[in-house]
Amino acid sequence: MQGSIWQPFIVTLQLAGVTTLVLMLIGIPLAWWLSGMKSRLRPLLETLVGLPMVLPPTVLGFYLLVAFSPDFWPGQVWMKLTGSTLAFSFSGLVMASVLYSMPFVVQPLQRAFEQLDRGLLESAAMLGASPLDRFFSIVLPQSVRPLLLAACLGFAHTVGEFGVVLMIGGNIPGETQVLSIALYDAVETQDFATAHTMAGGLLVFAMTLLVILYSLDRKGRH
Amino acid sequence: MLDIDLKLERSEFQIDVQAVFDLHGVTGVMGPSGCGKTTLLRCIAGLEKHAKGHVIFHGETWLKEGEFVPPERRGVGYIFQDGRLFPHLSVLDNLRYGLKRSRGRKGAALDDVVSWLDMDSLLDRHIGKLSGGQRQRVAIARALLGAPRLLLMDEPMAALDWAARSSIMPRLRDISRHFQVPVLFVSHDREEMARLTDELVLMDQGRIVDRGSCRQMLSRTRGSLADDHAISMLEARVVRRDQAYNVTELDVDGRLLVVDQDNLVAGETVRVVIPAAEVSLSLDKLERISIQNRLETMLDEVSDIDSHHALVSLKLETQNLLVLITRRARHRLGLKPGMKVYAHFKAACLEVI
Repeated sequence: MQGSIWQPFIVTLQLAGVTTLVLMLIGIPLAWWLSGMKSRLRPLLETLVGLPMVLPPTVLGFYLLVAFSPDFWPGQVWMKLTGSTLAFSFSGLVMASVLYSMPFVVQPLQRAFEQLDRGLLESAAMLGASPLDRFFSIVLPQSVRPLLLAACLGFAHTVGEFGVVLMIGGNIPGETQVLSIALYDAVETQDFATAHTMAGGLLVFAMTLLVILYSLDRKGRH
Repeated sequence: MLDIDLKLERSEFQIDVQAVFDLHGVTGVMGPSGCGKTTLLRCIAGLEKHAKGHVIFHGETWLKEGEFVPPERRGVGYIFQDGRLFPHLSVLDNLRYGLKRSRGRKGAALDDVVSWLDMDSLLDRHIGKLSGGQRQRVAIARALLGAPRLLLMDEPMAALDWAARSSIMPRLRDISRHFQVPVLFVSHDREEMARLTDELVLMDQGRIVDRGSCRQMLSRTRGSLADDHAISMLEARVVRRDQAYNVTELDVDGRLLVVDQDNLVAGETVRVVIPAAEVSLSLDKLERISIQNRLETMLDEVSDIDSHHALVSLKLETQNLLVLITRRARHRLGLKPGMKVYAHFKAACLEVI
């Protein structure tokens, strides 16, 4: 039984880690782009980013399952590139998690970027800094706390996901079986000892992360 | 030379400015708040993307139809009213920020600028721990280290208290000469203009309404500066300190002036700013009076500026002194151009920088 606790634990950590990394790489430029956007398209884009917050995870999971299948182009393209299917794979899970946790990363970042003192950017421009230089030398260092906050939120939310993984993950131990699903399985098979360990562990993790988040947020306000 | 023809639609007003600036020394742009002087400066800097028209600096086009050189490639320094220092960097790193990005232009050395602005003790300080005056010193140093070809200043002293202002003022006066950089200086404060600028441009409602040499513009008895806040600016040479009484004697057009300041160096040229309201006139020579500054002059012009006041311009040799009197006094004394009159003002009302 020992192996079956550690395996989902490691898969969960890997999934949340990779997802957070991808989220930051996509989310930071996306949030910056949205924060300075004046086009009428902005509400539409914000809706698309924010949709996973209100949609039942199973709905997202269902559409992703369909899209990932070899009958549709995302699945076909992936099949051509890698020779394997996207559904029921770790990569598919990462893609789904990125979409699912996107609003938790993009929204706090976008808010932070909107509140950034644009005067500092003008000041940097007058000192000879190009837009990209300004982004790296002013915007990012000015947003360290929101960046940490966004990364924590993205990570925590990915650890906590269940519905999407259930729909597209396929529950393959060591590949796509994450903690939340393993817990569900343990309860199904009436293995309450394992269930207690997993549930307790997740609870402690969630609490620790939230304490860190709130203390970050508190400091940010001072 | 800076050749501009700018149009910019703003919600409250429209900027519409055509001008050629020689850019020798310090050019002042003055006007009431909301007249568009800051916007004009921002257009020259390239911070207003929607400005139309042209901006040509020494033959280099910064703005023309279809052409726009972004601010970071104009080589212009900008000192903002609020300093705009980077809070995540130390003072030294703020200074280095401009130094690193000067794009091959050779400017002043860090050590020189730091000692010139007297800020050695500030270098490892945190930005949040600086006073308003210190912040502005850092902002000035940072702009200078970027080796600007033109330095724009937007009310750099507006947020400062009196003490900070009078310690920064002498530095601002010398900056253009010392670092060989032309300065465009925006302010609504007449005294700052008198102390710092060589040429003065007046703006109102988005347009340039008048321009000329600072001293001439200030000494007029007509026009928008001829009001009850009128001031005169006289250029004087420091003659000597009177140690016994702790005052300094100045020479203005061959006349003796006494100021109660002890930080002036004999031989240097200074500007004396005299509020017109602080000067009084007499037709006779008064000897037994406490007022030490008594100048014999010739009445050049006199004109009523409102229902109460008249402004009198007195000729020294090359410079003029303004006196604010009541219309009643004007008529009782029968003041007319060409009359010999004596001007009096107290040494204590003068501040020399």
